[in-house]
Amino acid sequence: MGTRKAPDWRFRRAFALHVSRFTFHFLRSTLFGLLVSVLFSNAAFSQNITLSADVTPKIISLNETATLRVTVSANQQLGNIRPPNLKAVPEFNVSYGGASSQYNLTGNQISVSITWTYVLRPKKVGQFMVSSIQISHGNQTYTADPISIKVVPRSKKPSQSESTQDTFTDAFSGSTHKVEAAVDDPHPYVNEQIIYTFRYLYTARIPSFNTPKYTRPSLRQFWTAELERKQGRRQVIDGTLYSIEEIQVGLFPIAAGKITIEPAKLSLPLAAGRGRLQSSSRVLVTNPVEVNVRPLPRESKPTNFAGTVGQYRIHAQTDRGTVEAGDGFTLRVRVAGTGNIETVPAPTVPTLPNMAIYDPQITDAIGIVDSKVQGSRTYEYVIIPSKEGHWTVPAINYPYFDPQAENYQIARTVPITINVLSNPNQAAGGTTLAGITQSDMHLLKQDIRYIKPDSLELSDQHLYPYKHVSFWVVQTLPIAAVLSVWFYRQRQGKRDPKQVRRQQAARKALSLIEDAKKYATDEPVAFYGTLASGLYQYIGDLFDISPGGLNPQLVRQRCEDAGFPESTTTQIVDTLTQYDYVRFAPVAATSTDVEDALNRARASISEIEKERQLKIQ
Amino acid sequence: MRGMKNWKYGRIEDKKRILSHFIFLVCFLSFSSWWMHAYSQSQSTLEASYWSADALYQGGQYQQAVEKYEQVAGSIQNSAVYYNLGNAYFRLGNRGKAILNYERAKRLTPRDKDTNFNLKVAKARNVDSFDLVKPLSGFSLLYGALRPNEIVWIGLIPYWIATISLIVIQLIQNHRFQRALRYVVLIGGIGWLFSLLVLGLKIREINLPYAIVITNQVTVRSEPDLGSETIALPLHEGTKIQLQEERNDWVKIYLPDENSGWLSADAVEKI
Repeated sequence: MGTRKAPDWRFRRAFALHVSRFTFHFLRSTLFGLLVSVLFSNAAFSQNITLSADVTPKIISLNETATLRVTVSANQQLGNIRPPNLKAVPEFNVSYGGASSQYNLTGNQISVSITWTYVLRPKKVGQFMVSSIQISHGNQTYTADPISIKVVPRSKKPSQSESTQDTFTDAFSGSTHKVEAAVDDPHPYVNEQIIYTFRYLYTARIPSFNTPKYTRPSLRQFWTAELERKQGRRQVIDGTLYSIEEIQVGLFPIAAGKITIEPAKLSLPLAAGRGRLQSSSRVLVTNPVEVNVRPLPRESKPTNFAGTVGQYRIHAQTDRGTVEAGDGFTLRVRVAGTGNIETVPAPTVPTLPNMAIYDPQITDAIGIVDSKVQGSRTYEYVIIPSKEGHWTVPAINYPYFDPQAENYQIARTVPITINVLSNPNQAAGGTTLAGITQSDMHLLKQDIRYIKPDSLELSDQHLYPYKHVSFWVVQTLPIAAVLSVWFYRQRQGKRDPKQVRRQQAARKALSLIEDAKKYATDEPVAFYGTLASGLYQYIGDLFDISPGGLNPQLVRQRCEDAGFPESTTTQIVDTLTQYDYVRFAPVAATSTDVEDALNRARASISEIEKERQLKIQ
Repeated sequence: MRGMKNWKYGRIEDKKRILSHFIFLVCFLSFSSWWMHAYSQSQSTLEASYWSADALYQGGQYQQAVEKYEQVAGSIQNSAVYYNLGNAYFRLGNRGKAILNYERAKRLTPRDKDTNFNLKVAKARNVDSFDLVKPLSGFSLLYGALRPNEIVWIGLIPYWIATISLIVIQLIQNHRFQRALRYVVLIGGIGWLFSLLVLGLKIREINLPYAIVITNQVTVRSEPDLGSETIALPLHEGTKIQLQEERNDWVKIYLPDENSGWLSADAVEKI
């Protein structure tokens, strides 16, 4: 019964093995499928680009403008992306207002966004849709959702009390809240510091967990410096006690003319409760502030004036008074004072005969004192004198405009004398500071090339290839292949009996020849017979035939068929013929004859083996 | 009945085999997913830092850009990062660090035109118009412009030709063709060994302890001691030097005519 069932069991077992292998291959395929899908899902995720558009305000009157912001966001580098085309908005005059970009890293998530701003000036009254805002990136086009904007006649514009009020009284707490903005000097000179102050006055805090949120106005026409926040001050105004919080910004006007600083905003959080159904906010808006920036006077302007405004002093010193020719010393020029230190131009160091002056290193020390930007900028020049003697670094003039005195001033350094000694090393041409070559002069006028684009792959470029697996793989793989083929050939040879016989032919023949030695002197017939048997055995093994029927003629034929040279063939045939002759007409063999016979047998085998090595691998 | 036992035994073996395959696949899948996730996260962080560094550079905020680039350069060796870092230092007037980073970039991409140009521009502003390094042998002309990886790939060509020839020799019967292929094997082998020799020389050159002076000026002394004699003119920012020895806060440098001197280690930074 068991015997009858055996084929069924074998079938079942084979089937189970087959299923196992299939499952393995299926899982392996699934694994790679999953890996590929993970890769593609990462890629798809990394290509997540969204386009959004927003317009503020959504209701404007005919003589007002609205701001349209188009934002493209992605979690990858966007590269060169063109602004959206907004020509298809016939109801508005559209002007481009600039772009801003932002990079963020939250956890390990990158977000990149670019926002383009447009100013929309309506041409007519009505309800309009701004649609077809599109951008192209790669081969794809992204479209933003349409936006509705309502343009009303000037008289019919709904009042926006919330956005124009600077005062708010909270009916429930009874507290009053006011905001105001001002500058300390509405008529500054270009690059003169003024202080913009935003004030928040309140009789009592609004009960809320959130704090009021301040929105600074756009200050694009100024260099700005954050000053300080003042709070806790109290003042009685019109019989009411107010707490006052102040935010100050130092402003340096960039150009002359009338500048209107837009209103600042303060959003007051209003918590739910006490009659309020839900939490909300109330926005208070300051008055706009006008600044008339005066140009710097043209009269009596120093010739080398470079736009420095403020009150400054200048000081120069060297790190030593005596140096050797070819040795360097450091000239430190420190410009210090009140004003926009970050923009002060470098002082003009006069050309010094027989001295090479190199680019300075710049160090800033900037602070705020009494709401004024103050500090210093130090320029460190390395100077190399080339000749001995007493040399003078002349006074350095540093002109500036003093807005308080309303005239130009010139700060000066004191001349510095340097004693340059002769230098034996320089004369000997040792480790001296050689002069600048023409090529160097050419390079000194050139600027460095720009940074590499960030679209380049950020890979780790290794210096030591042997530290990587790939190096060892490509080096060992060919050797492994060669060894594999060699082993394969060896195994193939062992399995083939013809091959085995052929490989062992010489060894067996030489063994028989050695055996013949024992008959050498006493039995010449046996001696030559054994030698002949050895050679016939060798030929038989070589060509996989029986040695029994072989004779010299057959051996010649076989050797010729195998393509052995004539000399090799003749040698073995002659040897065999000689052995046959002595076997059938025996004479006493001398020791010389024995030795000669043995050598001829060995030489014949050796010759054939050489040829065989060349022919049969 | 005996057959039935065998069958049952066989089925259990197969089940075990299937289970082991399944466990292997699950482990492999988990490890791969974890590795890919970790790698992509670290790569994203680096790329974000690199992009923000570029944005800061473009906005003229060089000091902040330097901090970001240094952060990236601390994690990977990349010539573009070193190059951009060098630019940011150059804009800050820190020529020594600029040259240091251009040299690091050049070591990774020796033929990059921008790197070589900026290195020349920065070095033209050096006070010292020389480098205190031992001259390399004329042999270095062979591999100076090649990266180690490129030398490996060039050497693989004769190597693979030689090994393919070896395989063919074993598989064919034509003894004349075999004899010709033996010469190919010999020449290919020599070519491969020569490439390994060049690679060794290149690695040796890379490992030479070069450094850049990063302070404004540094005095060369006869001994590692502030009180020792000054034996040469001071070196200035941006000069390339070759170190012979490092000892505590001092480094011994090569000077011409087989002389040597000592510098404060704070004044130099290795490439």
